Amino acid sequence: MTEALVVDSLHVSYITQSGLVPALRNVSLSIASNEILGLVGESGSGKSTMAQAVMRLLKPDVATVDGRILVDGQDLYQLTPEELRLTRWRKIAMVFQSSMNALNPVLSIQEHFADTMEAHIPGITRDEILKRTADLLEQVRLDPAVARSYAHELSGGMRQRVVIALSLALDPSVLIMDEPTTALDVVVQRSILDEIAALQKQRQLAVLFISHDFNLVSGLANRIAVMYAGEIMEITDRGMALEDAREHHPYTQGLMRAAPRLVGTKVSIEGIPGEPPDMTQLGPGCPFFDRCPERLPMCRTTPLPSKSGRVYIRCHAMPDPVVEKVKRP
Amino acid sequence: MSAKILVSTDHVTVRFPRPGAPDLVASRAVSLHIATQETLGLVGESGSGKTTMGRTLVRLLTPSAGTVWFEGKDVTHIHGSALMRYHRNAQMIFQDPFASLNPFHTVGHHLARPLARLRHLKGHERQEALDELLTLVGLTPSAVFREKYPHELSGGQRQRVAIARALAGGPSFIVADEPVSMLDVSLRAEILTLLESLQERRGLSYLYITHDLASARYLSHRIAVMYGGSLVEIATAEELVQAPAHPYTRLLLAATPGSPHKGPLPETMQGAPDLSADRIGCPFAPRCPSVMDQCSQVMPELKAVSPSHQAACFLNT
Ligand SMILES: Nc1ncnc2c1ncn2[C@@H]1O[C@H](COP(=O)(O)OP(=O)(O)O)[C@@H](O)[C@H]1O
Ligand SMILES: Nc1ncnc2c1ncn2[C@@H]1O[C@H](COP(=O)(O)OP(=O)(O)O)[C@@H](O)[C@H]1O
Ligand code: SF4
Ligand SMILES: [Mg+2]
Ligand SMILES: [Mg+2]
Repeated sequence: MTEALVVDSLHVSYITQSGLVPALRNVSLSIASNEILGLVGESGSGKSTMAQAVMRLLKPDVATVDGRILVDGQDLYQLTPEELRLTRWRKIAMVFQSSMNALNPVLSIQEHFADTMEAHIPGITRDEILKRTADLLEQVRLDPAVARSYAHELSGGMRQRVVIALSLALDPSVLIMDEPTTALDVVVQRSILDEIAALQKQRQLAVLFISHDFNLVSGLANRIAVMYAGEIMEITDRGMALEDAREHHPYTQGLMRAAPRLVGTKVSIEGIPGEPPDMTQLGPGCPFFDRCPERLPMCRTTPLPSKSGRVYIRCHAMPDPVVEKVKRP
Repeated sequence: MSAKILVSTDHVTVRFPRPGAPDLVASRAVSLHIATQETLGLVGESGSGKTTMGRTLVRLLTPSAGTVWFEGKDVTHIHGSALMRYHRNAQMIFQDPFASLNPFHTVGHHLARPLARLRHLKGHERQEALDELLTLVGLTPSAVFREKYPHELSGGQRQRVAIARALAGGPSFIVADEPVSMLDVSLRAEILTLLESLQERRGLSYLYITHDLASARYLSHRIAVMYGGSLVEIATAEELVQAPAHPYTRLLLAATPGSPHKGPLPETMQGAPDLSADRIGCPFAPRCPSVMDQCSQVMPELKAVSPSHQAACFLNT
């Protein structure tokens, strides 16, 4: 299996008036081509920071970044600005959290596609641009005539489809999607997710799909990474059925018990007592220590072990999951 | 659960005039009822008229036609002191706890006002009632939370303040309009279980408005589904999620995260329903995979599917 994206020992800290504040700590994961990795976590856990760090979008005066990001084997942080410009869109593209509101209101949809293609494909002809734009719009099930519209003439779901089509304009191998359907109604959301799944298979894309919605991600992703206080606690390829809860990290178990279920017998829910830690006051041990029902005395003082690999659990009280053949949903 | 009806609507219609176009009808002849200590879930996509119905039930809005009943009395057109008395009994909690709290006022101030206005409490008595409210919603020690400002609270704590404020007048009916939509899953669970326990302890009835069917199933005894301003289906929560009868409900269920549905969604096209006053026929007809000739001509009436289940669809005859 070829790894299209490798994140190796990533540390990110924001530069603030009160000093460096960690946002990501020792994050490692990899995504194979033709695979969707879901990244879930509560708000503030560091998901968007992760997306921006992977795209190398955090400016040196905003945050310090340490670690390696390999796209098709090439370290993004070793590239010159010009190499970086060519790599983004072509090899790795991103759909931002609120990008459907980021379309330029005075440019037609066609012009957005033209700008992107002209900047990256020297000598591309007008005809070629028109043809490719129409193809891309059709792939996200929009009428090619949408190219002549402006953002304000389109519904939220249509704008989000445009943004997804635009991210695919240069046929990248890796796609980062940060809460791409969060503001949409469930029916529109579901149909866009179906399209993402179809495009991903067709184009053999490696997708990092970020969401706060556990249920949504479990329906889409091959594996799920669970983030808490800037650390990945678990990467799992297991189902999220409640019967299997005990196989997961204590934090994942907490999330699973907190979510009401749509199907199956009705079960009671409970929150995870307490709140996420203050990132300026983190101790050396597990960040979930204060809230964890399984904690051991060592958890407070012993750093979580570094892990990599397709699935893992970072917890002093739990063994790693038994690695099976990768499940496809 | 007692079967005594606490609050109900009879053919409530809310119209909003639009310049140069037929009126927008946000809710169209909606009849529903909520029993004492019952939770009715109200689900539907955004713009379907859920908030409009909630605001009408607590009479923050006067319907253009139809009747709102509370404890057997017609409260559709009450105003002044009668409306004030009604608001002791019927309160609303909103989606965004931040927007509904004043950043310059302490938690204590937010609660003191309704205690004074709705229950005419003063001095020591008011202080006691205030501490009791804070304890009731889990904001303890109350002496500490009393002095805090909204920005010093987490999202979940702010929503608890909003709940305490709604409880200040000693209501029997609360409209909770997407109270957990902006919260993370763990906090969401805490607020939902708080609402559950308050219902038991205070004998409350709820209209629980949400676009999330899973949480509606969790909290509600029955669930009503709105589409394009019309009530299209209403049933016990389990019947609704296990045996939906209206094609729109089936679509909504198939699309909800956590649904086992595979394959294309059961809809013929995407698009928003027509809310205009001159609409005829079933609001879902343009998207409905089961559409028949009569569907675009005549609005189907709600009809019984089972004793505890009604749907407005010609398939159901
Ligand atoms: N530009 C910034 N400067 C300082 N702190 C930031 C900045 N952006 C995000 N943060 C902080 O980093 C943490 C992670 O944020 P984010 O990555 O946006 O989380 P998520 O996307 O999971 O909600 C939060 O505590 C947030 O306040
Ligand atoms: N005060 C108002 N003036 C005009 N239109 C309104 C007003 N309030 C709501 N509407 C319209 O009524 C429809 C239903 O809105 P609402 O009840 O808020 O739906 P929901 O809560 O289901 O999202 C929407 O099209 C909305 O734009
Ligand atoms: S390491 Fe310890 S505190 Fe952290 S999740 Fe595991 S058991 Fe809980
Ligand atoms: Mg984010
Ligand atoms: Mg609403």
